[in-house]
Amino acid sequence: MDEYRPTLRLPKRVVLLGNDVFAWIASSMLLSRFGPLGIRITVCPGGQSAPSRAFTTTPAFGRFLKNLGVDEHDMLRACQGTYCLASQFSDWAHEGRDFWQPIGQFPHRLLGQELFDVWLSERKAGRLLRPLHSYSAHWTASLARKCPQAFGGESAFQDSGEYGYHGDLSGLRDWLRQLAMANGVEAVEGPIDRVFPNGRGGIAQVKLQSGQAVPGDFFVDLRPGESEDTEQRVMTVRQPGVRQVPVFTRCVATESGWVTVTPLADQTEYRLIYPAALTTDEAAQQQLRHVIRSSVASQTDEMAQVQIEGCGRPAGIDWRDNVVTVGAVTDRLETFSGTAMHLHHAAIERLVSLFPNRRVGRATRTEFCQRTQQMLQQNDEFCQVHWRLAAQRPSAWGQWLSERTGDDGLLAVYDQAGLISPRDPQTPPAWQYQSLLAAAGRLPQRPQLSTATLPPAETGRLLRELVKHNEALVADLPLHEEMLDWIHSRPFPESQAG
Amino acid sequence: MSVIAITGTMGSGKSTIAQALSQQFSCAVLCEDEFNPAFSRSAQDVATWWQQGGDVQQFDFTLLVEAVERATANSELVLLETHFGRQHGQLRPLIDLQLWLDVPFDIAFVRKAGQLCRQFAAGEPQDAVAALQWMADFCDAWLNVTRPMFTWQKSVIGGQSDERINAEPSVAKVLQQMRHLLPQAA
Repeated sequence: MDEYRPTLRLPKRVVLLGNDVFAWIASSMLLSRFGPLGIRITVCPGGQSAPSRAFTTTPAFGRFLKNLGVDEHDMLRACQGTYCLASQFSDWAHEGRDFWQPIGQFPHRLLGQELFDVWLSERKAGRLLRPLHSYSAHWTASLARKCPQAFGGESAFQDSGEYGYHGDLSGLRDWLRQLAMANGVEAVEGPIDRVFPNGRGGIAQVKLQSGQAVPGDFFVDLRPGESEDTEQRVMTVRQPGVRQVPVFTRCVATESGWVTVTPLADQTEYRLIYPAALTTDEAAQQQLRHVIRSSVASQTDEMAQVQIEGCGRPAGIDWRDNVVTVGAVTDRLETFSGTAMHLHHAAIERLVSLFPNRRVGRATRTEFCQRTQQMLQQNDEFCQVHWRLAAQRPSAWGQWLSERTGDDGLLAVYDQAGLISPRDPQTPPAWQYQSLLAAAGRLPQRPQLSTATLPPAETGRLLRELVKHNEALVADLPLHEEMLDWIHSRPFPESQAG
Repeated sequence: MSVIAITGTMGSGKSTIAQALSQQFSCAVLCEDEFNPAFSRSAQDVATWWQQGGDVQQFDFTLLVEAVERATANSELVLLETHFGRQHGQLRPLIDLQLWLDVPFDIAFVRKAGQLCRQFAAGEPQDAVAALQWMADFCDAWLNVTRPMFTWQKSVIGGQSDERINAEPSVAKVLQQMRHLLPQAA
């Protein structure tokens, strides 16, 4: 009965609590849905800005920009932005081994079979040494340092939208803020002094220290969780960038953590995540220095300013009366860059989709929380598969990780026949698991029976053709740095002719 | 048919490992240097190339590509000893597995110096003078060219490899590390 008894009408004023990029993304998403209905969207910072750091996105962010009708070059210009086609993982399964996770699906089926099944069949027959990821056009373009966008012309990546971006989070925040406010989002400044309850477990209004009251009939709390009880720490340093800007994120496992290397237009950011119980800040700095020194980016032992933060376990998703708390979605440690922003998009999209339906009651609220929490848990499972690979390393960190990863139940069917059970649409699909596990050397015991009849000569020929096809696909694309020169330089002077 | 690229800096042991592997496997061995004489001409040539931006794509490997294609038609396994590996657009689609022989730069330098000295000792007088000059240029260029180039190679070519092998120990131990990566048939 509760399902049919509305406790929340379509709101007149939505107030977003939060100070970072996630609040401004959410404000634009809410505005595009609610703006035409005359609903006011107000962003109320209510806290200090998080220190700036680099971000990576998934293709969902490109779709968001497209929906807003804005040029991605404007966004890239505002945040030292670069393109991203893949993540390279170094030293995870064991020291010395590299593998890649392309952003975007392997689009190919061969001889009516999934590429993974064909690849596995050939591999098991001893006819193939080439890794699975090397059949991805994203990998080919990453090695060739090609930009997914063409100058004026079309590209396969552009058509599919299967690429992401890197950039500086504070630059993106300022740009999104400007964009949202130009479109009609309101912003109030200053820290929150008091929150006034509405008597039903929700919020009636917030009052700022300046004395200004901000009433609302719906609140979205996007503030990250408290991080005093820190289990892990984050050490960030930026070094001068390189001319040949990589078109991928690199994630290097170290003795006691991992370093994410994010290329920006003018700088490279190195971000080490390490358990505070295992490593001192001094030792962590040595590990970070080692990764920097082994890259081309730096020929110097000088470390730019190091920034250290703690990070706690994110709190759960909550929706009480007229307040949705989704800060947990954004406050996550990522081995797969872009996950937090992707999940944030998914959560806000899910929230917004509820509102044309005026019957948002307790059952809807519970379902939203459960489904969103489930989405986070399934993403954590994927992350744990990754951690489990690193846990193979004979080190204190490996031991630490193995104590924090669940059992192998999820992979039981994969180990037998290469199958992964269907997941939430917003969580990594089966092919990402297959790609990750295969790259790390964990192969199913036997290939699919349906591949037994594949003709070996024809299969080998088609696999080789696929590699050539990918090379042809990226051949005419500009180099990444050429496109970045175009985007980040000043506008060309207008023609004086005529 | 598979092509395994053996990459590494000068002095990393590419030739030694390729030769040892060829004795274990029935395979063809091709060496990029034979198709790209830039690296065997003079240290000055290398320095000039590096200082002009070190563009790998400027080398034309058409003949090498043809040689690899011929070799794969006749042999199940081809070993390609190469400086650039997948970084070169013509070679990338041909390479099935890329291995990087990882040695500290000082060891690579000493190995190269030892090799040149042995050539010097065994060579004719005119060859000896040329070898000595090569060695002098190599040493002169260490700070500004060779070491940055080694760093670049390790980061880029090593980073594009499927496996980085510790090539510091003996040949037998290096081969032992590679065993799980190579085809079964010996």
